[in-house]
Amino acid sequence: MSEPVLHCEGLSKRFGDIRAVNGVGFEIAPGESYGLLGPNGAGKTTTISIVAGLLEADAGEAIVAGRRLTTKSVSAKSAIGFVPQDLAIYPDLTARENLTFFSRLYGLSGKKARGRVDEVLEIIGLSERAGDQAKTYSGGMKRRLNIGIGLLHAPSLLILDEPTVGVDPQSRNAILESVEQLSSQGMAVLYTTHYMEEAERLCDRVGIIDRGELKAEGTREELVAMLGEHDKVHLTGSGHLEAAAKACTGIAGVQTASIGDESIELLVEGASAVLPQILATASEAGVAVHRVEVDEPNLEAVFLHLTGRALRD
Amino acid sequence: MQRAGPVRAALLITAKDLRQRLRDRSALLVAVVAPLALAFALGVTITSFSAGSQTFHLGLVDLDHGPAASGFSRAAKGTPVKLQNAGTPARARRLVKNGKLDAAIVLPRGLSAATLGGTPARIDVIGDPNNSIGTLVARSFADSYASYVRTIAVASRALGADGEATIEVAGKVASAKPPISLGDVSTTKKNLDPKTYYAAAMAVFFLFFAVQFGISSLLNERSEGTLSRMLAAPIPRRSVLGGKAMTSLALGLTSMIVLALTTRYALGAHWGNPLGVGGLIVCAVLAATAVTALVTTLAKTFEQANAWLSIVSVVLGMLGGSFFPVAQAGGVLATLSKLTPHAWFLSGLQDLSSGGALSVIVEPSLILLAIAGVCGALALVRIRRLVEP
Repeated sequence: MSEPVLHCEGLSKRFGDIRAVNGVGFEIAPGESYGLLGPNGAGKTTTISIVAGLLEADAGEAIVAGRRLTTKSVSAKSAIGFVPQDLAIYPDLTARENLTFFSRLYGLSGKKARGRVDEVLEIIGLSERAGDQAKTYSGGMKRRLNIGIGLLHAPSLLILDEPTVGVDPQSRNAILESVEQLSSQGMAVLYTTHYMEEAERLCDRVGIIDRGELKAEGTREELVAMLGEHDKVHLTGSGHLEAAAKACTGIAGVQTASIGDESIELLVEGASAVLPQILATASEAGVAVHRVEVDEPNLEAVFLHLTGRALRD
Repeated sequence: MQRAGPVRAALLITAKDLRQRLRDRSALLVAVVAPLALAFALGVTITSFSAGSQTFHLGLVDLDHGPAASGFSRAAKGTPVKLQNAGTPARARRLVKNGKLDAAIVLPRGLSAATLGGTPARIDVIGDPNNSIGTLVARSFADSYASYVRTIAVASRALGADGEATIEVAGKVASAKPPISLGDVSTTKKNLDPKTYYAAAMAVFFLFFAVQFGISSLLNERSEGTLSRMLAAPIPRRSVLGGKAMTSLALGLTSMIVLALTTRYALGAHWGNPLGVGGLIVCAVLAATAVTALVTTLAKTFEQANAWLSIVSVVLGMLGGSFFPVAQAGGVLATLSKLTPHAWFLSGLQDLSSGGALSVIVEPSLILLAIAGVCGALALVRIRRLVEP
């Protein structure tokens, strides 16, 4: 394996009494997409902030392109492109002015800067609106500009912190396509999300993070394999869902059960054998079941299995 | 790997900030338009009340028809008082009430005879409660004339001259230029003329608002997320701080220089020796930037910083004499005034404007630099928290 673009080990960070990140470590190889999957407050943004050189870790180390990363390490930061969760653009500047400003901060100048700005405008599809102030753009265009700034210096590692939060489906798809394209061009990508579908679609490997700890990591297949012969059973119904979910956890073969929106989600061993008993228990607990779905386990099921709670919790 | 040097990075941030401020015109409004408008308004208003700059139209009701009235008219020559015949007391009252006259003076029947005979007489003044200055001028004028007549009468009687000659002499004396004039040789400095005073006072008052666009915008960039982006770039954090400080300095200097030049050529303000004025401006801008930086480091949000900075700017401006010379009130206010950069800037300018040598700005400049040093040092201790995401 070639030298990783990012190697981090034992990263820890506390804010007062809160342990935001605790001993997190992972690696990203050149051209690899790595997803940090976890619910809000899991520690994704804190991890990203340390890896982007914004926050100093209390313990552990991060090495980017062979250089140790701290908040002061200017050379390591040169290898990173950072796309924050918020729209970090200047609304009263045009797209070209935004890109030019940041390209110069990253050391580009003259023709090289102008050329790269034009290239990035092309990549993010804003060439025709390059002279308009960013405040006149749609939400999706602003998001694309936000990503474009991170690409200016063709970084070895692109860090995207939940770039699709609050984005309409069309723009979201455009963003995901952009990331896929960048990754296929050999750029290493660190992507945080709490959307399971995005992690499954984009990431070669996924790290599951919860309460500041990396619970597991691997490819989708490796993570799902951790569940063994498990199936995901989804019951849609009405009534005493919480009582039914609690009762179902007592059934042999049911590993976890959690409540969703008018539904119960269960991780079970051998769905066909256990399902009749589940339905009977739900009925006894006062739930009228309207629909039953049995799925192959996915990353959400893995998260449920590892943490005992759903990604959306 | 490429990267921008620390100074270049700071300059890039300053250039970006200035472009933003020019685009939204907020800086132009605060740094130039508002102070210029207020300096103009206050300067012109105050100037119009200054001695010698306004003619007071006083009505004269001559019921005496004797030599006293002609002596009175002669006494008005060479003064800012213009006397015009108002006819009767009733007409004079009407003209004053309508604002056609500032006030009126009624010379009663028998005034000349009384003056000749050395018996008491009364001159009435008709005034408008809404024009207290006009009334005051009329009273002073009448009083002054009566005083002259009294003095000359006493002298004439002592010399054996007749009464008519006494009145004539009184009129001549009243209209003559004083043989002895008083020069201001006191230890206190000369006051700036109103135009210059308010041009400088408004310039230094709004300076504290103009420099806010630099340092305090760090808090705005933090809440908008762009600070994180700058901090993730391969530049040292001191470049971000330096860039913001340079924005403050650039806006402050531009504001002061534009105002000094504009008020000099458009309003006729007399700022004094350009070199000295330049030195005072630089020191005042440094002090304003340091005070602003210190207040900003105490705030948690951009909105909070803006509110606190506005309060500090107004309080310092009022104490420092931006609206009226507080120091002349004496006591605690005078002492507090000396704690403000505004007071020292205006003090230096007063010395300079009254023809003082360049050395007169040494003390105010050093004090302004001391304020900048103390506030800047305190700000530096706390400023790290401003460049955290």
